[in-house]
Amino acid sequence: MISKKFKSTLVSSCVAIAMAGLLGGCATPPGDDTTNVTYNEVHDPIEPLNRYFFDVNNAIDAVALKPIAHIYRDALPEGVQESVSNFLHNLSQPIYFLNNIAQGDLDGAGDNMGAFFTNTFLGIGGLFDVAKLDTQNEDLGQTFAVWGISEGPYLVLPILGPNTSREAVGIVGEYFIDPANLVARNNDVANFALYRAAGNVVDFRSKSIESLDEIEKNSIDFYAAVRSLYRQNRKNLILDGKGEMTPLPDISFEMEDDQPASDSVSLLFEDDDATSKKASSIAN
Amino acid sequence: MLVKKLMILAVAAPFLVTAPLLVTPVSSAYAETARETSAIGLVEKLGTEAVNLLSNADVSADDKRVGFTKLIKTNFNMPLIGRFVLGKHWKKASKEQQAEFQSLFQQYIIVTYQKRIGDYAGENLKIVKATPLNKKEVLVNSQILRPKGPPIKLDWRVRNTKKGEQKIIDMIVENVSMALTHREEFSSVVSRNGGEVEGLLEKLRSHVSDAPK
Repeated sequence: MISKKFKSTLVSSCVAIAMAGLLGGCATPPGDDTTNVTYNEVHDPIEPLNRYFFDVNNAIDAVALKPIAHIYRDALPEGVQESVSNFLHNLSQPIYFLNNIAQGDLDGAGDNMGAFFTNTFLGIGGLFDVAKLDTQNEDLGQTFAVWGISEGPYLVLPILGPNTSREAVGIVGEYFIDPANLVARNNDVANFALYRAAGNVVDFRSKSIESLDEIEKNSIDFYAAVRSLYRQNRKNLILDGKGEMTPLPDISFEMEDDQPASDSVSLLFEDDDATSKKASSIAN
Repeated sequence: MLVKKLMILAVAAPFLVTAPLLVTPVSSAYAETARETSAIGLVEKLGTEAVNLLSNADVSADDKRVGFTKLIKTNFNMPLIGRFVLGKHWKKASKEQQAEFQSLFQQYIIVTYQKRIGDYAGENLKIVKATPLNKKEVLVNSQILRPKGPPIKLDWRVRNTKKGEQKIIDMIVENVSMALTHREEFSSVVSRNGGEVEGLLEKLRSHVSDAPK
């Protein structure tokens, strides 16, 4: 029996997926307009709308989320916070397991299974990390990436924050297939996914107060800095942080009419002779 | 007799096994290791000097700024990083704008990172290893060990200049390249000002002058 509420969320999610597809469809590369030179690097065709939601999210963060994260971090003992982190992470192990299987990472999946059972039984329902397997987050968006689906345009979602369209579809899909959510749904635990998401958000925000403040203070364009950090971090997560070589941008000097390859930041450059001369005159 | 023979064999065996290994490495392999060692030395020295300077309460703020500027200039290839960061807009900028950008970018980096390093207390830089990337570049892997929480991965990209000196051209924190982050941020500022580099310079000027000394 599918409950009425579930049906309504199903409908709204379908709308969300359709929207994301629509946005993806709009992503035809613009021409050689100067204001669009960053297009190939940042792939952000709906930047004005994204900036709007970015500002809205920041406002929500300032009045609601950040204060809660502050209180949470300062009022609760560290041990409790760690247990909350452990518990939420353990709750996600089954979906990480499924994603790792789908990505063909059987070692990772084995770790997820081991960590889940060890921590659930020996770590009192996941409150303590007994297994110490250091399992990574594996979401559906990463699985899509491994399957070769490109990330699509950058997307800032209301409340959910920075995403790419691929990740946004992944979030919706994951809501339905996540075993923890399924169990809660079958046992009629009301608003389980909502509380869990809220927990995850506060857990994340309380750990990132300083770093986000720092980025905001030191950047001249906070939105662009976050966009760059988000995408680079996603790439790192997709490679599971163990890509043999650290992914590196091609740093050298740009050639006149050189077009960057569409999905990478690889840029060919000319020799650095002229610049080093110029530079030494500036440096002194 | 047999025992003696066996003993000689036991002693000699390692040499026999290693001998081909000792002979085969060509001089380039030696140069390779020398390059890696010096890159590690560069990062290690920079780390110690920067922390010693910035965490020293006896040094005045002005002296800190002067000392840190010198450290950045000698250890980083700032002109190259600056040009990479300005990217496509470099060609459009006039000579004067290019020069002003380089000088502002250097100040921006100094203001940003001096504060960051000054804030790190009780954290240690541990060099893990160095790997050659190509003929000119070496990647030094290090970790920031924190009193609590997992270590932070920090990689340094070191490249030989024309003169053969090794200089840092990028810092990669948890696989996030700082040069690329600045580049995308700056590029966005230029685009939002109608593709004019002047808009970026304006932003940088006010950011640098607002920064606490």
